[in-house]
Amino acid sequence: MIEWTENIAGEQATLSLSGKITFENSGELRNRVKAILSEFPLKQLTFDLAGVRFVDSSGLGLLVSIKNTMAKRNGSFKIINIAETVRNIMNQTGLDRYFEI
Amino acid sequence: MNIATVALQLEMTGKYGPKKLNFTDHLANYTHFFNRIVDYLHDPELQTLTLNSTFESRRRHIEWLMSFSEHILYKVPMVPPEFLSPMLLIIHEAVSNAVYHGNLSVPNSIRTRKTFHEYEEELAVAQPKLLERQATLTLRLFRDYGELTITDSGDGFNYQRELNRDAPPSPDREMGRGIYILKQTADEIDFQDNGKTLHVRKNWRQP
Repeated sequence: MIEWTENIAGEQATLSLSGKITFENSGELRNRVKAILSEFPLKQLTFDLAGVRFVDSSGLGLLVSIKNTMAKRNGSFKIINIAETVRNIMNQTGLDRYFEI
Repeated sequence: MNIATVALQLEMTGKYGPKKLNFTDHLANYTHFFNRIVDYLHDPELQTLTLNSTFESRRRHIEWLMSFSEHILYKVPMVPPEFLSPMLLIIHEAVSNAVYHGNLSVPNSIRTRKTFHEYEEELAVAQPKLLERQATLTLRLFRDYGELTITDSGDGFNYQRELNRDAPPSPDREMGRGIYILKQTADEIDFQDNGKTLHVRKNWRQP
């Protein structure tokens, strides 16, 4: 289960998520981000993961794809308020440096 | 009715010697099932828990199983708090590997474009038999360690190549981290039967 609130203003958007980002739901989240990106001229997208305690390999893949997408449109993607359990899996997979967390 | 079962065996020490309690139900009833057994999970005499589940390659089944496993993990006295997240990760990666890669052989191009739900709806029309492919999971929790075995109904895969990987996949790649994460998280990992059976072990006390 994942839920999020969206705060979109001008070229910036923050999604504040809570729950787990896993293979069961990462596709839905991907679709929503795609829709936001096609609707708004975003230059900066932020994921506030304060309420997220668990991310699996599909969730990581989703975060990577969002970062790649933002880079392609000369924008940036930031992850903030990352929990220790999520940071651990980022460290394990070398993504801590990729996301500059 | 689709195949989705869950069975639990609890091994207790007792005044009159060890005893084994057994419970089984349809996975759809997992909330009721959990409420029925939760008091036993608190019992200090609980020594070993074995969870067995056979399920099909449907998102609903996986969600039931994940939710039930998580409920169990967070209630039993055997798993120290710092091992809860790693165990949950092991279960998630093992199940998604068995269903996505093993049973459904979902191409990466689909995984990056479609939700599980959308893909499942397509398969229900085009190849319903594929969704009936089963996986069987056994999770055993002991005082000192936990272990998981999962067998899928797919064709197997070149697991040795994945196990030999000693660095994580390139950070800009969207896919291909599952087995690497399992290897990093578990203390032991091995595949059998051409990769159709996966076994992992996580120690919480040094053996």
